[in-house]
Amino acid sequence: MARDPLELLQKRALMISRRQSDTEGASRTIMVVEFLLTPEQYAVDTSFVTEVLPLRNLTLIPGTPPYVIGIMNVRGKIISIVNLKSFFNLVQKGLSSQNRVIVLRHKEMEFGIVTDGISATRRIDTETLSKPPASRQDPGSDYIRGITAEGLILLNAEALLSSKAIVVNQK
Amino acid sequence: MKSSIRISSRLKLLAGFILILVSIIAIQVINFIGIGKIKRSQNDLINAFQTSQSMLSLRNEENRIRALTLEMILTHDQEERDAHVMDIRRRIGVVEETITNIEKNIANNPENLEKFSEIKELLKTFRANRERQLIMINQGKKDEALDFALTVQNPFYESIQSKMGDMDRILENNTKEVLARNDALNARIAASLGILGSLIIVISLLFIIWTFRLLHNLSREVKAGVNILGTSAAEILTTVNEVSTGATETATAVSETTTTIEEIRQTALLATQRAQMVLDSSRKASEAADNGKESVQQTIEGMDRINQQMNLIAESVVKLSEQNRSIGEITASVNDIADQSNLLAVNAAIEAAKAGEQGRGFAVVAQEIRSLAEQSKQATSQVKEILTEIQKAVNLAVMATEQGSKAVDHGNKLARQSGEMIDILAESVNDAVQSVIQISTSSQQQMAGMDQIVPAMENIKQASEQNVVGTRQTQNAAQTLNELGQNLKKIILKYNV
Repeated sequence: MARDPLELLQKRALMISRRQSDTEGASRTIMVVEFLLTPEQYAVDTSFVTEVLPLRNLTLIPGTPPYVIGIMNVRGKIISIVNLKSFFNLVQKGLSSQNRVIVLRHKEMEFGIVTDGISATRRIDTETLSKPPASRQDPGSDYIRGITAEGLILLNAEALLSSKAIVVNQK
Repeated sequence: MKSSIRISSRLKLLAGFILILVSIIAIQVINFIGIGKIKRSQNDLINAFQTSQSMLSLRNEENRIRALTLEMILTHDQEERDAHVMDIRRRIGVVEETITNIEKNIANNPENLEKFSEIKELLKTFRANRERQLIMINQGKKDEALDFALTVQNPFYESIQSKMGDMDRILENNTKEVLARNDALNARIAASLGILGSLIIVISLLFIIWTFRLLHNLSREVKAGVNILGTSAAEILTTVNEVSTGATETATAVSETTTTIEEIRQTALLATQRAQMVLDSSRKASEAADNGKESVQQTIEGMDRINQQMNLIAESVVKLSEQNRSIGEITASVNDIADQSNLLAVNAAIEAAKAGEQGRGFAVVAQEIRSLAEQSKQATSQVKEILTEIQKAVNLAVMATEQGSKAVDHGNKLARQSGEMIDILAESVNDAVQSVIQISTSSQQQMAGMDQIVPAMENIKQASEQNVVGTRQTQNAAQTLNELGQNLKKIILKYNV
């Protein structure tokens, strides 16, 4: 901790410049936002992400499917909040102010997904992704683009945003 | 009972003897009086007899004188006449003497005296007549004288003779009376003497019977007593033997006691010394108790100060806890800010990605901000951990201060109890000091007493030795007593009283 701040900054600058050169070399990589749906790490392509928010001022709406938790006012814009754990039939956990919302947008479609936390933004080589298991028959597998070597599940944001289930219910 | 009997017996014996003595004296007195009376009676008798004799002689002499006178008348011989005259004169003298005697003898009988004086008067006249007759004779007038004798003198003489005869009879009667009186007197004296004698005999008999009975009883009791005496003497002998043994044992015991007393004296001396030591120790203990009391007081004060400090610590800890909480809140805010910064950084990165090549630099900045936010979060979590540790420590400190406070209270209580205990101890020590002083005094008195006992034991020893000697004498005496008892028994058997 007691290290010279100047030295620290120089090291960091070096590291950052090197990483820049790496990404420049590979055009197959995409930028993703990595998040947590306990206990798994998921990721989503940043090109579909509008912004990330803390879960605040959630308004519960009665008569909606169970995976639609409610609505949120984001700077005057009303956004539906979807619980992916419910949608993917995963083990559920109570919500708190620690939950983060990732606002996704494709064409006219826009909604937020609840996460247990935003880990980082990073680049992923799409060539290294492996497919989800073929035997998987449940509808969730359609929304997964692939899984990295570290076990990071890359969601198909486009499929989610154009999903009939969510859209039909939305409209 | 026995003593009363003895006293009464003595009195009875004395009374009996006195009674007998008195009776004898009475007999003597009666005898004496009787003898006197008899003597007087005999005198009277002699008197009466003499009077009768005198009267007889008087009559004889007068008769003779008359005869002589008559003879003178009848005779002629002058010589014969002269001889007769001479004889008459002599006889007249005898008559005079006899008259005097008779008067003397009947002096205490006035009746006789009167009668005799009549006779005397008659005799006087008769004698005067005779003198005349004698003169006649001398003148020779014999016939005239004879006639005178026959006519005057003879009837006169007859009258005198008759009077004298009367007198004689009276005297005889008198004599008879005296004799009768004498006999009566004799009989009376004899009777009284007889009665008294019988009385004495009866009294003596009673006395003898009583004395005999007394003696019998006495002997019986003495016999019983002698038996008891014999038994007692034997017992005394046994007892004396035992006493002799006891006296010897006493002498031994006295020697042992003397030794023991010397030991006790030594012990008492030791006790006195020990008491002195205990006294010194007690004084030291008393001083220590005073010091202890001061220490306890100081301890209590120190405890109070500790308590105050503890309270200050507790307050400080509470403040620290509050401040810790404030820090926690601040840390939470910082954490929140870091979260938001992180989100912002993510958003910035997303925006940078959307900007493409132009946004690359911004992406770096966003990455940098994210990294700082991450570091801030880590720092806050570290701070949180530290705060948790601090809170735990604070809680421990609170508990420790509470326990400390309790401990201080307990210590205070203990200190007060110690103070009280020390007070009690001090009192006990004072009591002990008093007791020790008393023990010391007692020991000294004991020693003094022992010093007095030693000569006393010496005296007892001597007395015991004398006792032994005396016991031997007593033994001999008891032996003698035993023999005496046996002898007495023999005597009683022998006399068989």
